[in-house]
Amino acid sequence: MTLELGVLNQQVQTMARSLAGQREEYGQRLERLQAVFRSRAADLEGLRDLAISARGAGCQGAIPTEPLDATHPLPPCPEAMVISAADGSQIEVDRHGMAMYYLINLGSIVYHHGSGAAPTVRSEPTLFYREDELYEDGRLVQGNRLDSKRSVMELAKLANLASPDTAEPSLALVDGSLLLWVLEESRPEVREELVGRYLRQLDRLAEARVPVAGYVSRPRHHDVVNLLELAERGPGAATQEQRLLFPPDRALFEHLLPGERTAPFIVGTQTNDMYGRHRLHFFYLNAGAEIARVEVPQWVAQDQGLMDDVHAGIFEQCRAAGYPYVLARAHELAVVAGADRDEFERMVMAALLGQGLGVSPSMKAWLKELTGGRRSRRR
Amino acid sequence: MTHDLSPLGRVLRSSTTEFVVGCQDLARVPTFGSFVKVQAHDGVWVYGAAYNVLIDDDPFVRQIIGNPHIPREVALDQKENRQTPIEVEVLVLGYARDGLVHQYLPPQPPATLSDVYPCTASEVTAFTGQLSYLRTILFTPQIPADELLAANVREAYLRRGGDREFLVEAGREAARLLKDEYDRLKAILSRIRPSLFRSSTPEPARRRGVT
Repeated sequence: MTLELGVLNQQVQTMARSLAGQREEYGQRLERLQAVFRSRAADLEGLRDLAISARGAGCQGAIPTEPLDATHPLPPCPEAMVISAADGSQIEVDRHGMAMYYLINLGSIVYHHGSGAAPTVRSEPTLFYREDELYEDGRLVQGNRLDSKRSVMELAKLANLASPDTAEPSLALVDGSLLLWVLEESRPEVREELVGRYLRQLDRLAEARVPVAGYVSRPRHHDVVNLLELAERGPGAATQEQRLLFPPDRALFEHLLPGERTAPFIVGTQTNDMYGRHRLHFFYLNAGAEIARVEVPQWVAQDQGLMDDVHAGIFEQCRAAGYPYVLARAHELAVVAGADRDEFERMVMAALLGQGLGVSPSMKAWLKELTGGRRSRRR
Repeated sequence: MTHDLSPLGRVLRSSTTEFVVGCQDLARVPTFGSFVKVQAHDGVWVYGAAYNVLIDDDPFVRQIIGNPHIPREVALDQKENRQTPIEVEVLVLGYARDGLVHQYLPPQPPATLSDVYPCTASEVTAFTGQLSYLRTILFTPQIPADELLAANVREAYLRRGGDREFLVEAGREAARLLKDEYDRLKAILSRIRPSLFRSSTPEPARRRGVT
């Protein structure tokens, strides 16, 4: 055993004391923010101007579209509705492995609400190994870049699943934020290219009139909190470090009744400007078991019918397990479990050997295998 | 009875004496005592008899099951699409290589994720041409050995097309193996006696035999 639990124990105790100390400060901050929330709730114009003007100064507050305290009750769920979800998982390139490749496994589900029929589910793995797949812009496709590639594939899958013929309302869901995570250090043209691929898939969904939404469970976002800070202290008052200790937005919306949602807010980050007609909006929803954050593109946020479908569809989906059922299943269909992963690696080894290619892991990987045991080989 | 000869599951874990099969479809889970086979190394087909079925605990189902509002679509998805972790424990009885049957333990166990198949009638007939495997069943600890032997013999009798001679020979072999344990023998013989199958209405008789 190499983890010195005795040494760690002291640090754990200190961390627990520190967190307990923050709780009081957290409570005070929350009360203060709630007071600002109440006093400025009706001041839609003022807050919107404030949020927009502060963006230049690097403050990323949410831009409200309705009074802060506006709530919308749960609309009736359509009797029939086509709800789809896609989620991906990946095996990253292992530089010390037998060969350079990565794998993306896409899980997807089409659930016909009200049909009484079993949903259609799929798992689709794709292997990437060509040089132009492994390297983009001279960099190995891994980490955030692989995440964004996966996000594009998820949206593409949802667009492929959308059938334009159906008269039934529909809803397409992804897990987490709809905002594509692009590396800040990437060159602007690379960022634009990545976002462009993503937006093309959003275009397809918009054309098919399939409202797409990102569902964020236990959201830690601070967009509304940032706006309130801005309203109270003016731009530049809160440093990034302080902001991390703030209560998250969802603490401000604990009063929502089950099924109720807030008004949509516009995501205040600069990146959002690249989204054009897909400019991202978010709202908070009491999904039954938690206050969740839902992100939608502008063309959904500005269409009452589509918003009602998103609102009612997500709440209906959360009834079975407290979290959208289709997302839980899409995730399950995407995950590459340990045994499958081992079998896949054996398959790769056999195929390479069959072609007369030498297969040996690097010395580092080999030594890790010897010292760490199989389970710790990756991460 | 027709048999689907596609794989009924894959090996989850294995040892020289037994292996566990992960099945997705409850309808295709091998019945108690029935023969299955799986390929190991060097052209070895390991033969075994299913002796226990476990349906494992599943946190996802647990989360859903406590909820009064379970949409029909969700229930059907769980039943039809979702990989329910059904585990079937199989006792290794012998193996076949190059068409030759060996009723002793194979040189190596099957590897994880190997496909497991039900045995065809001709494979059951070939394997049960000898009866020394009955000893393996009877003297394996911590399994319902007597019930397994009886169920397996009944299964073999039926798969051999109602071979009465086989049934009698299996009874004799059991008597030889249990010559000092009269009560066990009596219980086993009562579970494989020919009259179980000789009823004028074969179906109920068989069902009674299998329960």
